Amino acid sequence: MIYLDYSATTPPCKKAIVCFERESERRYGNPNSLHAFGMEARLEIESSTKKIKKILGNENCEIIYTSGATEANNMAIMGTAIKKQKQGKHVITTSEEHPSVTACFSRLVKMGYEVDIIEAKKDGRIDPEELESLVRPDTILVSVVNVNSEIGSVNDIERIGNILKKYSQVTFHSDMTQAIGKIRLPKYYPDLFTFSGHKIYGLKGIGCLVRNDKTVLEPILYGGASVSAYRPGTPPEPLIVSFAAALEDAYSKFLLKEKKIAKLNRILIEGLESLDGVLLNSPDDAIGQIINFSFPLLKAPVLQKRLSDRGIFVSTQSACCFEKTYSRLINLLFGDMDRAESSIRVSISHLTSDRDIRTFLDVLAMEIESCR
Amino acid sequence: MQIKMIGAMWCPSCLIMRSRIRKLIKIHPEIALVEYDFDMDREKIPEFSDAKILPIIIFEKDGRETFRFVGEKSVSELGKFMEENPK
Repeated sequence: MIYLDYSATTPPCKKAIVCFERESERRYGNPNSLHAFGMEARLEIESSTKKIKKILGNENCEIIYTSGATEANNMAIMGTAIKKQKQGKHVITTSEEHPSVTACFSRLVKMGYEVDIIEAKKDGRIDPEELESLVRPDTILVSVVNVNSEIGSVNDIERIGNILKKYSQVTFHSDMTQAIGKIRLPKYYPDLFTFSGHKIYGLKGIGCLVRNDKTVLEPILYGGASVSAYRPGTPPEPLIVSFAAALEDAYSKFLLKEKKIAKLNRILIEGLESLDGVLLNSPDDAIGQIINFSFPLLKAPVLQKRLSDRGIFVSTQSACCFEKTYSRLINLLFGDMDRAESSIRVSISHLTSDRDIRTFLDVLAMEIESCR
Repeated sequence: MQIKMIGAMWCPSCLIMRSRIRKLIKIHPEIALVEYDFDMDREKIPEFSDAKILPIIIFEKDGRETFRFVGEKSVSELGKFMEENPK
């Protein structure tokens, strides 16, 4: 098997699995219980939370544990919009968000909020000045993805954040799911940001919303007291401890991993460029882990299946298309429907080998040759 | 006049069109909007046709379909269509 879909999910690292097993066996007390066994689990959560804040370099925040980034994005967007509805009902987002963000904004339109949507420019990024031109006195929320999951383009979150500081009524949220664990940790964080365990070599079923201490929210779930006022329910202590371990592991020997990914990215890009008819869709400054390309003579699902039949796993994107045959973003950037219908995302990792890349390129070359 | 929109909550083109149609309705309050959710309202979705792209937008007058399109149209394109098809 050659797995080239690390942006969809990652294999859990050994530390994450060991932590989960150990905590499940040893500390199964309910962290919301007041007895010593429950308190022991709660202390372990507090220790993991301190670890996560330290790794992020962000002390003045609350880590709100969720089932993943989808729930965290819902909590950030719906929680902000409901909390601030008396201040205004204008919200801004982009057209290149994860479905969990887009769906929340769709819901807000139905609830009577006015939504402005910014399109990506040719480089796959949004223009911060265009964003600023849309901000109004009744704008309460701006949500901009950090790293685009389809082509790997990177929005300048710090620059956007600095612009939005001028508008104190605006809460700034960013979905950082494709950024955390893949890119160097930033010095600047938005008011609210989200990421997920299974994208950082952790387990599925855990993620978080990081809330700046001064940022207000309305809970979207209600229940008894727990480790956060914003997320009721029994905290999954083994998953939380495992999540912290995965984040720590993701940033250990990070420069070495980054160097390896850069090398693999070069091999892959050069290989794709050498194949007649292949068009690269990712911008030059995309993150090294995501490489999007099109071979317009083969529709994306056809090529994906042919590669899958040979044990090579890549991804297609399908926003707005229920038969998974069309990428809205690629069509927007290049104005070419054939290119949009044949867009393939390859996502690599420090676990990918040179051999994986070369085998993929060889198989791709054979598939391309077979349809000439 | 009535506009039927078949869209999905997760679809960016649907979000864009949902927002644009609401702007249009502010100018033309006589237009009724009926929305169908691609995932939730499958049984209610009328004459789905063979479109593969969302949203599907159907204009109706006196209970009869006058026009439909799939995907995105600008606010000005929508307005132009309204002018060409007065109520």
